[in-house]
Amino acid sequence: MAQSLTWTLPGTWRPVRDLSATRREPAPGLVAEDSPDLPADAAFGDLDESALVEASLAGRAGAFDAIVERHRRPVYQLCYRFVGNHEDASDLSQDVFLRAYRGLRRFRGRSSLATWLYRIGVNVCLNRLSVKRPQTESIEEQQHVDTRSESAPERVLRHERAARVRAAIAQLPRKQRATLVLRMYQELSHQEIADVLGSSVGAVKANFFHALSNLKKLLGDELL
Amino acid sequence: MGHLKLDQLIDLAEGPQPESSLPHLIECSACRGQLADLRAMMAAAADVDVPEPSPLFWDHLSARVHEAVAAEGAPRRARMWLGQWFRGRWAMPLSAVTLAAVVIVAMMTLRVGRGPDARTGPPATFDEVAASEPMTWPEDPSLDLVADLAAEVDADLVVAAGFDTHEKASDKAVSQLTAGERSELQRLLKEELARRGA
Repeated sequence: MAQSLTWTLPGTWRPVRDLSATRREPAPGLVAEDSPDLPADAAFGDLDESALVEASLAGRAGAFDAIVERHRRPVYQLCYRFVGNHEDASDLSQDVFLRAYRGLRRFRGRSSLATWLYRIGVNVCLNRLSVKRPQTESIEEQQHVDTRSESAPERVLRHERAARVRAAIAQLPRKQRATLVLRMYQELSHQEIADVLGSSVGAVKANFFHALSNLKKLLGDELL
Repeated sequence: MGHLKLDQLIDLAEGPQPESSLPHLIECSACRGQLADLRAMMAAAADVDVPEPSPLFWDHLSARVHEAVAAEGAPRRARMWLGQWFRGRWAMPLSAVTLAAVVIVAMMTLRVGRGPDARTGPPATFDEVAASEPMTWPEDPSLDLVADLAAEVDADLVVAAGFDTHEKASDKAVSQLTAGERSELQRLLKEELARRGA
């Protein structure tokens, strides 16, 4: 049988015999009682968020897998924005989903699931940053950016410029940084950011203003 | 007429409010300059990509989460016991330090500077505790560490760990530490102090 790779904690690669078999295996304690109201695992992709949450809480392992599949990219991108490297971002993404799973009963549906996951993600990332300063990836390690439309000098220039901006963002105070990331990259509304950060729309706008002003101070006029 | 407010500048920079709606902008070069700077910084920030990981990565991430969730068991109805959480194989390295902070928050809540009628009032929320006035304590590096850790405690994690942030719940949490857990807490605090060169 062909071998594939999967991640194991704390972030090292190891071969497993069959990844798909691992995915189908029911989690201990997650074997649900048969319920006529809940669809088969294969149909979870069609459910809306509240139904997925309900199915997860009812013990249907496939339902939480569907939640992960739906939100894994934005959650990973959020984490990457905070830590600036793939390894930490993937570890943190896993942590976000695990904590979401643990706290799923506390999700009341007042905000979207995405907003709730972002809230967990921001907390997880800021906690990590307070414990460990992440190692930002070098340009050479960032291999998967589509650069087909650029010349080599343009690409180098863009990478250098992005590295300077990323370094400046990393120096922003925590709330300013979180606000900027959520607004600029995750494209949340001011109200959604206020929900994530537990603040007001006015405070979000003020934080965003100060984040951009501080970026200007940190970068000087070199990018203007 | 005064200069534009921060939220007006943000609304202009982001586009929902047209410049023509604010005549002040025409006559004030300072506000125009500030608006231009905001827009330039937004453009610079927007140009920073997240590198796309390998296409295989997404399924690997899902598989990792699936395995971790499988190790957790079903979502909990009741709160986890401290001991279970403390022994969690995945959460251990990072969470142990945070546990220290959680316990310290509990101890600080119990020991430091609450008014005489504090115990009769409603329970303090986490934010209220975190936002309360700075407290004074004797010079002790371990207390500096405690303050740092407590400032970083995540309210969600506190609740997920089975704690609450009002005083009696904290009291209970502290009293639930076993001798082994206390010993582990001391070890972690010492390690952290050594790491910080305190």
